[in-house]
Order: sequence, then C-alpha cells, then structure tokens
Amino acid sequence: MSKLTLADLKKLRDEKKKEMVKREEGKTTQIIIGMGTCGIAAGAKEVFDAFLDEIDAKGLTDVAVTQTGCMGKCHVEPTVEVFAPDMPPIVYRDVKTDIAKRIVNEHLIDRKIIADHIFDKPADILK
Amino acid sequence: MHRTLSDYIVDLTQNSVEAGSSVVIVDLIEQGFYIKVYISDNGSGMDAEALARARDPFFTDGVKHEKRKVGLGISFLAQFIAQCDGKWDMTSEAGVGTSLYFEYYGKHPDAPPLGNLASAVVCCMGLPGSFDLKFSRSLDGDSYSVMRSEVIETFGDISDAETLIALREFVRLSENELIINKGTCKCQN
Repeated sequence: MSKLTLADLKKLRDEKKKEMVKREEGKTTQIIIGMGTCGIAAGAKEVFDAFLDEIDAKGLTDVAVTQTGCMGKCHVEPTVEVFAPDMPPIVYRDVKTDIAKRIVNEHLIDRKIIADHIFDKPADILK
Repeated sequence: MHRTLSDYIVDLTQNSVEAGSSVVIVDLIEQGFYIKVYISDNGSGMDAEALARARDPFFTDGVKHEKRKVGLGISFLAQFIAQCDGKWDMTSEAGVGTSLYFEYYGKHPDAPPLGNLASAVVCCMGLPGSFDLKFSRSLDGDSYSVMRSEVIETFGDISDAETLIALREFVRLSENELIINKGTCKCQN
C-alpha cells in the first residue's frame, strides 16, 4: 500500500498556502471549464491542468475551478466561462493551454478581456 | 476518439455523475501488460432499451442535453476497445445504477497511453455535485486510493484551486511511488 495519506495531502496544502498571497479579500473568481465528451476530445483536461499550473505559479487565491458538461457549443471547444469580480461574465472559445495562461494573466490579474477568444453569445444552457 | 486512457476515465466518470449518482467507484487495475477499468454508480441507470441504444452514437436521452442528438462517450469507448482487441461491457438497471467495465492489452499498438492520471483524478473529483467518488489504482498488486468525501472533509471546498492543486500533487506522488516500487508503468506507451 502507498505510504501517502490524507494527512500528507493536508500538509502539502498547508505548504502551498504559505506560498500564496491573498489577492482580494472576500472576492471569489470562478472558472468553469466545459468538460463534456466534446471538450475532453478537444483538450479540456489539459486546459484544466494549465489553469491549475498558472494559478499555482502566480500564487492566486480565492479562485474556484469547476467543470460543466457539454455547453452545447462543441465546435468551439474547449469553452471556458470566467466570472471575475467587477467584470462581466465571459465565455471564451477554443481555449488551449496557452490561452488558459493568458486568461489567468490578462483576465484575472490585469483585468483585461481577451477579445480574440470571446465566444460572442453565451449558450442558452448557461442562462 | 480521446487521446489517452485518462480522458476516457474522465468522460465515463462524468456520465456517472451526471446520472445523479451519490456514489461512484472507479478502479484502474494494471496487472502485467493488461489494463482493466471498472466504473460503477448508483445513478438513474437505464432500462434494457436505453442500454442497448447507448452504444449508438446517434442516440442520447434528450434529458441531459436538451436539443442535442448525439451521445459520443460510449461510442468512443467501443471504438477504442475494438481497435485494440479488448473487451468491454455495461450493465444497467433503471433506478439502481450502471456498471461499466473494459480491459485491453496495454502494449497493443493501437492502445492509448495512460496520459495524465493525476489530472484525470482531479477532474473527476472536481465535478460539481454532492456525490462521493472512490478512485482506486493498482499496479501489479501495489495500490493507492482516494475518496472525494475525505478530500472534502480535510480541505472543505473541492472547487477551490488550492485544494485541486494539492490533490493533483497527492495523486502524482502516489503514482510515482507505485511506479518506483514496480518499475516502469507498463501502460505508458
């Protein structure tokens, strides 16, 4: 059996927490990744990983990363919806790992919308 | 088609979660060069007719995704298993749940690589909803497992990026430990 336990997991998390800097007290950002069959086939899992990597690298806190099923826009997968404080909710299309990094740096940190990857109308399923 | 075994695991686990399951069990067993995956849930299940049609890529129940006319997850699995001469089966009962199993020879030239398993486990655990998920992984008899309820009990919010990052690290370390103990992971092409 593995020697690792949940206590190790908690220790890891506490170590990570020490490295992180509070960004904006009480304000939560949410990133929702389309993870249906179409999204996974288009690389959504790698995108999910890239978000975690960049959030970790930049030491961001108060960020929720969640998933949803097929957003009904299979032709522009992976799709990612971003809710950031004081910004409109945005659905990005064709999000590859490099765009995921740009979303963290430009949308979440610099508070600039990445115009060339906006999916112009949110799918009905999101309303 | 998905590129890696990890992608299939995420896709099929998501089916279980979207079926309204309160408990999902995922077992990945690697013995010698053979890979077996079991995914079972206590979700809505399917009657015999729906079960038979679930293999048809042009069938979907019309409930999970309104207006959509295709459901490719099971078709992808069937195609991948066929191309590497494996076996798969799915049993289901309406109101009781669904069990899915597949196995294949990991060194088959058309077998997908394992892929990023740590990321897959995090994706599965991070799916929205109030369900429990037990992921178990064994490699030539050595094993580790992690339960979603334990992660939530330890960390609280499972959607928090910090929790997901720590969980990913935990699975990576557990996976590395298995591989170091047993030599090279055989399903990595």
